[in-house]
Amino acid sequence: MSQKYLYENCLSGCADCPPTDYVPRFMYSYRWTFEDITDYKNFTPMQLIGEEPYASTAKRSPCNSCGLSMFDSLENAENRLLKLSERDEMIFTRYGNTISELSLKVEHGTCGPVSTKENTLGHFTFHPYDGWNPLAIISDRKTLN
Amino acid sequence: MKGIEKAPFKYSALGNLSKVGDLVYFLDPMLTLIRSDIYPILIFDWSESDIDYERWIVYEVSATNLNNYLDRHFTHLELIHHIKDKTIYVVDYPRSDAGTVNCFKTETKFIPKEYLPKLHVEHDDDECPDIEEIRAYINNLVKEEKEKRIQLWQRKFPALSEAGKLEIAIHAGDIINKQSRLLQLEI
Repeated sequence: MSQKYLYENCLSGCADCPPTDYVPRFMYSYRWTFEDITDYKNFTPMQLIGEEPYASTAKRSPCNSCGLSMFDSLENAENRLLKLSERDEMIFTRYGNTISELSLKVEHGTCGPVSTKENTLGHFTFHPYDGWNPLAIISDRKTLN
Repeated sequence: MKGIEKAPFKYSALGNLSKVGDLVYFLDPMLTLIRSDIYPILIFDWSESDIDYERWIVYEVSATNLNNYLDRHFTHLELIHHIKDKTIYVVDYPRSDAGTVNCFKTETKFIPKEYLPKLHVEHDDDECPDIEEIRAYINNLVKEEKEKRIQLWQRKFPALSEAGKLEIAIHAGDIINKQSRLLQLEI
């Protein structure tokens, strides 16, 4: 797999993206996905989906928005999604109701630091390299409702 | 999208919108404070997505009530119970640039329960990246609301004002209002 990033066009619009502390890792990661695993939103960065209510509002963290949100454990991924669902149970229409386990390898891309804050515990951003095929590395899936 | 009894409403009638800050943000905004030239406080509360649209319910609350929410005297659901005139705007934002914004007007009683927060959900500074900007904006509005109320009471009850008892009377009025709201909730 080449070292060019999959979402190079998106990344090139942000300064210093990904930051230098992003490193390739060998790990299981957990991502919110839709039950239909072929849904285009499953592995498309937020920046490219566009969910802000006003076109004029810039994304809060454009570099992160060009990557994919992941968690370091099934429990952290599940807890965060369930907490959001307490605000509005339709949240599953935005992020999906399934957590997919992905076997990340160093040749797949770079991972940002894993959050240790209570509200974002275990969250990190992943920037895939060009040629990355997420469907080929899903090792398990759990549907929440 | 969930079916709601609603009437068409002109989106532009909400005024020129500008963002004060996100009250809840994770990956995307979930609850956002917006101001416009018509409404000093509009809460944009994310509701639902489908393949074409992102739906937000939009409502107006007073600065005092939003402050109560930020101070955790109100839960998110209690804030919704204090929406001005019980009026809710339903705004469907298109995902594609080619789409058009659809806006409707409805009442709190028609909002699907799936859109409402659970009873215990309250403000959390850790979920609110713009807390300082929001508090600064709200504090100014709270001050203005208080001054307006004092002026109103001074006009209504000049004797109280002359006796220096106005602030005590307003405070007593607030307690009575709160008690009656609690009774309504129990019913």
